[in-house]
Amino acid sequence: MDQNQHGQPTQEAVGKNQYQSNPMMAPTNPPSETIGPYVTSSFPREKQHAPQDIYQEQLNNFWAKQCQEIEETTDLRTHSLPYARIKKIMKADRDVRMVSAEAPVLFAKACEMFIMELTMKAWANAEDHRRRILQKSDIASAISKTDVFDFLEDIVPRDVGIPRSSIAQNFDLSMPPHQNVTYPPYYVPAMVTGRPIPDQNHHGP
Amino acid sequence: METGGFHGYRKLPNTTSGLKLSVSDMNMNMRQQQVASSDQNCSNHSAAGEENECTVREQDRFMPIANVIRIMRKILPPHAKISDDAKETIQECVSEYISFITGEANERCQREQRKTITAEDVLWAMSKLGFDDYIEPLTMYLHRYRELEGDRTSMRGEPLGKRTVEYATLATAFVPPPFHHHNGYFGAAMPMGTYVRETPPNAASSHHHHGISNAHEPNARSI
Repeated sequence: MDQNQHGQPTQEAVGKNQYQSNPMMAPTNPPSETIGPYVTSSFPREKQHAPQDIYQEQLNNFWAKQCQEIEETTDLRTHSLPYARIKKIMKADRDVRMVSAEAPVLFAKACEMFIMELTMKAWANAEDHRRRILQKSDIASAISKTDVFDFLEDIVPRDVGIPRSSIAQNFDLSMPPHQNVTYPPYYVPAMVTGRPIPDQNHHGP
Repeated sequence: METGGFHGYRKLPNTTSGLKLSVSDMNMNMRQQQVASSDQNCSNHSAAGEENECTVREQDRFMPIANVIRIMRKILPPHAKISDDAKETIQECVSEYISFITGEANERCQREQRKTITAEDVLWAMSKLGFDDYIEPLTMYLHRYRELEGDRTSMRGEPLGKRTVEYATLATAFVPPPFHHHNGYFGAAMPMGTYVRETPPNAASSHHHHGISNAHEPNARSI
């Protein structure tokens, strides 16, 4: 099935190096922007163009790599998460009666991809603030920017994270230079109220 | 193929309210436990008499932190560091993700009057709740798993027998309706008192739900 992204027209090769994903699709669209915000940890602010395209390409590469890794897998016994623990969490719901043997196996892979997707988006926020330490606020930011992660909002209370309306404007705001604090507290006036764009993509089909 | 899209979550107001309530309960429960109140955790479990058992139960609510960190590092650049609160937050998010998807899959099972959550139910729930990107890799993964584990999967005589026994138990448990749809509850006991383990008068039903606190029973039933 097709993915629900609409950022296909624009892709950049620069974003691939950031997450150590090997290039797996030989034919790629010529990048419209030769310099992206993730080339180095410090970059000129004025050269940051359309970070949504970077995120979109990273996401597309991520999902394509997942399918490729599954195709290349020959032994499923080396799994990342214990099946028994997954089953216990599933059965913590009193209404859940029986769970087939395949459900925890599927969840193990699903949770692995979930952790990587959430971590990737959180790390993008940390890099946006030029930090090398992933913070809880980065996870809160990633959750608030992604609609399918709405069910996680209560896990990252807003008193710890960033006000929701201002997070949506993170891409357009110029951050103060030389920001070295571990958890940079700042207040950003919400220029545009509303929800963040679900797929962080401004380009229509 | 049903397309849940990014708004599948909002199309389920009942599920949303239920999950929100359970999440709030879980947060309150976790905050209290963060004050090292293992005694309170013990008191919440009437059958618990040992601190060690409570510790095991507490650990069972999350994925092992080492596994979570290893997966995080697979996607992060080498120079990245992860704060402790970020590690714990991802742990909580994973458990919430499992409960969220499981709750939706279980609702489908109950509507279709089935008792076993299958891999297909999990895939359906993910699609319904907006995790469309996950469907293709997971479908491939499931097919690969069935190829490699085909012999073991097809020879499950003992679990079938176990399932028959449990079915009889559940049939008995259906006579009194002690509770209705409660989705996404995480943790055996909630401090707000929304769940009382001893409420079901039927011993069989109570026995079934003790599977949450007893680490041996789920394994015995499933395997």
